[in-house]
Amino acid sequence: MTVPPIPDPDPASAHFFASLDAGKLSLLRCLTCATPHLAALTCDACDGDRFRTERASGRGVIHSLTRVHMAHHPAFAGQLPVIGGIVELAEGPRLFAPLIGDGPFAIGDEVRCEIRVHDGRGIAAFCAGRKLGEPV
Amino acid sequence: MARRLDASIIGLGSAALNRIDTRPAAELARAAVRSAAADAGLPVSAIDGLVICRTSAATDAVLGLDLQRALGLSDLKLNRIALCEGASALASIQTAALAVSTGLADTVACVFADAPLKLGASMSSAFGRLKTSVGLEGLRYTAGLFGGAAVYALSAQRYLALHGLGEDVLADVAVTTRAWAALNPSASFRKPLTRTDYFAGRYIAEPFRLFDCAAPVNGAIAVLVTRGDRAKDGVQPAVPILASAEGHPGTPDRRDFDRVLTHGGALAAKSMFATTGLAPADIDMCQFYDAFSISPLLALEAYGFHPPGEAHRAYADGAAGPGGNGMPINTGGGHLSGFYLQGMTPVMEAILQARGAAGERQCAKAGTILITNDGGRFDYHAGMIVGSAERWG
Repeated sequence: MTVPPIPDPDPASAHFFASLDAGKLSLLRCLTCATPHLAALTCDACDGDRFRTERASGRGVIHSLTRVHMAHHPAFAGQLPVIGGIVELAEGPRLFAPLIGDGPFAIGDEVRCEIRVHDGRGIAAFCAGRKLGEPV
Repeated sequence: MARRLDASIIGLGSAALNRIDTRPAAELARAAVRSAAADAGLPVSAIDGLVICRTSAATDAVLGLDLQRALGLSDLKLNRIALCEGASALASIQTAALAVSTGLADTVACVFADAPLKLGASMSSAFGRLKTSVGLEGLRYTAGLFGGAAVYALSAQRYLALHGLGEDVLADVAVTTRAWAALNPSASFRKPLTRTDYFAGRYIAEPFRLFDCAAPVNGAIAVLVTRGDRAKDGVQPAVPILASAEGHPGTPDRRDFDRVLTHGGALAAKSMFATTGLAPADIDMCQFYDAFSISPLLALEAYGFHPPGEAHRAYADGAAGPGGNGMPINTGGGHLSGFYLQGMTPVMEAILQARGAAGERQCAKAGTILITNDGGRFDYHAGMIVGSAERWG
């Protein structure tokens, strides 16, 4: 199968992609003020620049989404519309992510992370999560 | 408070602005600068400054030195590239205005050129390409969000959901903008558009349909900027730059912030209204960056014309359109129906309206005009207020 483009890490996101490639979703917690980030060199909340890596819960809600009706990359050909969105993690930070599995999806829906690793590179996709009150 | 600029636009030139001219962007830029000089009644050699703005996706980069040599210009006092994506055009004019206001240069040409369309290639191939995929922002491509439409759709989708609005508010923007284009011989799409036509358009990236997205063209637009006193005896009525400001919010992407709906216009508006003492009610018309139909709605709210979620009122019952009873918006057909030449599209229309040279679509009140430019996914913003010589000369 053709894999969608996966970004190269930059200094701010190196930890994020290294974790993802190892099958884990992680975030950076500011050591000064505890603000969570997915990628940061300086904390915008306090100017701090020291962080610790923390495993993310993988739970989140859809902040926004769109169904894209054109395939601009072979990885998405034959599976239109592509559903992509921005997911707000339970810890607070947001990221662009593919929305996979049974929908329909709407803004505010709970989703959970499903990591797929292709040739050593991880992709964080999100699928419909448990509804509130459902057993674990 | 920012100090007042002392600068006016005295020349306007263009090249191509169509879908069939496949000259390289560098050649279109050269032609547009020559056209702007001719429009101002000046020899090209009168230009002593160049500011180039270009799309970050340009494959045919127009570089300052290349353009200087192509135009045969020597001893320039300014030669600069302004690069903040869609906000680059106003950023370039602001750079020129600052230079002439302080006497660092006398006559500065600002030019934008782009040639994304190749003969026989599809329209979507013009902008649906992968920019460098690095860092967290690069995850958009992993999510299948290629092209501007997909990421601006995220703003539109959230805007509609947050305010409980339907896609008809986007339809009104597209239909109104097309009504203006019908009166502009330079517009790409002039056939009147009804709401029914709008909703029959295929989805590109929901909620955007075909008519919510800009019309790409190949072309170039150039303007000449000079100091106020030098502008007075020009061939064309001078268009004074009353205020200029940038606003790049850098909104964090996490809970308690809303990056997809935070528009830099709020920052620019504060600066420009403070500098001039003007208020939204003093603006006669707006020329907004409208690569996608959501942009004018967010700009109207950022600049304080309407409270959040109510910008659609500006378009209700054709208020912003020809003969409407509200403030005219994007009177040349904008990017949506006119032509997508990034930040220069609204600049060109503002100059024509301020000069009283907009032909059939000329508005009676065009003395004070707001222009906006948006870049990235509302990451970059620049605004400018220009006036007519009649009102402000």
